[in-house]
Amino acid sequence: MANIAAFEQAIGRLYQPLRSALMRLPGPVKAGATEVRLRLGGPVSLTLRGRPAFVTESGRVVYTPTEGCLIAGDQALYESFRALCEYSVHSHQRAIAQGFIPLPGGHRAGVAGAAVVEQGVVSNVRDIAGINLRIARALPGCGGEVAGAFAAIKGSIMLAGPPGSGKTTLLRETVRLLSSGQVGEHHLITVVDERCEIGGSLSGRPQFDLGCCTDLLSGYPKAAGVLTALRVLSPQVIALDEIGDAAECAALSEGLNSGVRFIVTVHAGSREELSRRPVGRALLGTGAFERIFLLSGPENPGRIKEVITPHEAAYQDPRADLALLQLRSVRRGPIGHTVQSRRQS
Amino acid sequence: MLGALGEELSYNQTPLRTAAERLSRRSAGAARDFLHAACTYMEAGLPPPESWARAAEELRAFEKTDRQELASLAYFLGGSDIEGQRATIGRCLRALEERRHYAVEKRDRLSKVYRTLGVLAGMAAVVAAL
Repeated sequence: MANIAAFEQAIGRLYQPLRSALMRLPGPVKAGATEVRLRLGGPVSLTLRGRPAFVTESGRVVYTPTEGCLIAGDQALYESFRALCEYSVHSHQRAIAQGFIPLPGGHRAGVAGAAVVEQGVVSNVRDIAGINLRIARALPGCGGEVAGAFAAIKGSIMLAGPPGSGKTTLLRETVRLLSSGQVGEHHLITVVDERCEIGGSLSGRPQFDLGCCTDLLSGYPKAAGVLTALRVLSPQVIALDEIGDAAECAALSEGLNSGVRFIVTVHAGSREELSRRPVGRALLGTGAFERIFLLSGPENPGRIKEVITPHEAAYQDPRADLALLQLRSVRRGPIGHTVQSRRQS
Repeated sequence: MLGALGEELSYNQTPLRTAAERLSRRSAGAARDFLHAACTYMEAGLPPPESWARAAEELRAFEKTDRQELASLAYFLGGSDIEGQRATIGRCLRALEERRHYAVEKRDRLSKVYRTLGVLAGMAAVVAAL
C-alpha cells in the first residue's frame, strides 16, 4: 500500500491526461514501478523490475510499444515540467542545472534537455525533451545488515551498485538506524545531501526520517559539505551519496584524518568496475573502508549481493587494479544461503 | 506590487505561490484584493497561472486594457529562469507605466478643456443674465 501511495504522490503533478492514465494502472504495477519516463513524442514508460514497460491510454502495461500507447507530446511535457517546478522554474534553477527537480515525498524528476553552458559550467537546461520521475520508496529494515556491520567495526563503509540498485535507499535507512540508536548506540551523523535525494529536503523540510541525531546539509556540494560538517557540526559519521570525483575524495580524506567515519555510495556494478574506476581506486586507496557492500541491481533494489572485506595488501598499492579487490568475500546464494569464499591475492 | 514581486522572484527565488501569499499580507488596496483572490484560487487547486489570470480579470478597479496586461503576465510568470522573470516583470511594468503616463496626460488635457469650457459657460451665463 505504501508503495502505491508513493507512486500516486510522485505522479501527482504530471499533466492531467497523463496522470489519469497512470492512475488507472493496476495496484501491483504501481507498487512495482520505480520510474516513470516521459520522452518528447515517445511512449510513456515505466521501469518495472529493471525493465522498461509502456503504458496504454486505457491504463494497461505492454512490454513493446504499440498503437494505443500513451504518448508524451509537447504540451504534456511542457505542462508537466512547469507543474513539477510548481510553476516556478526560477526557484529550481540551480537544481535544474544539475539535472533534476526535487519533489515532495523525496521523489525526484530527472530532466533531459539542451544545456546552457556559461564559462564551462551548466547554468540551465532548455528545450526540455525528457523527464524521468524517480519514485522514492522506503525499504524498511533494508539497512539492518549494513548498520550492524558499521556498528561492529571501527572503519568506514562503502555501498556500491549500478544505477537503480537502491544505494541511496540503503544509505538512508542505514543512517536512520544508526542515528536513532536502533543498532548499537546513537551515532551523531551529518548527511551531505548535494542533490536533496537522501533527505529529500523540500523548502528546508526533510521528507524522510533520518533519525534523531542526524544533521542534514542540503544542496551543499559534497566537498564543501564535508568541510562545513567538520568545522561546525562535529559529526562522528558523515554520509555521502555517489562519490564521483577527485575533489570529493580529497574532502573525504580530510574527514578521515579528522577522525570521522564515512558511509558512502559509489556507482559500480561489480568489483571489477569498482577497481577500474579512478574514484573507486582513490577511495580504496584511503585504507579507510573496512566493508564494501555490493548491491545486486535494479531488479532487486536494496538487496546486497556481496560483502567485500578489502585485504590489507590492497591498500599498499591503490593502482594495482584487480589486485585491489582480491578480497575475502561473503557471497550470497539465491535464497538466503551465504557462501564464504576466500580468494588468493 | 509588481516591483516587490520581481524582487521576491528574482532575489529570493521564492516560488510564485509563496510570493503571492507573502505579498498579499504586505499589500493594501487593489493590489491586496488582487493577490488575495489569486491565492484563494490557488488554494482551491487551480494552477498559479490560471489563478493569476482569473484574479486579474476580476480586478474592477483597473481598466480593461490594464487588466489584460496583468492577466497576460500569468503565462510567463514562473515559466523561466531568474533573468527571464526579471525581464518579464520589467516589460509589464513598462507597459503599465506607459499607460499610466498616457492616462495622466489625457486627464490633464481634458481638465484644461473642461476648465476652459467652465469659464466660457460662466461667461455665457453672465452675458445671458445681463
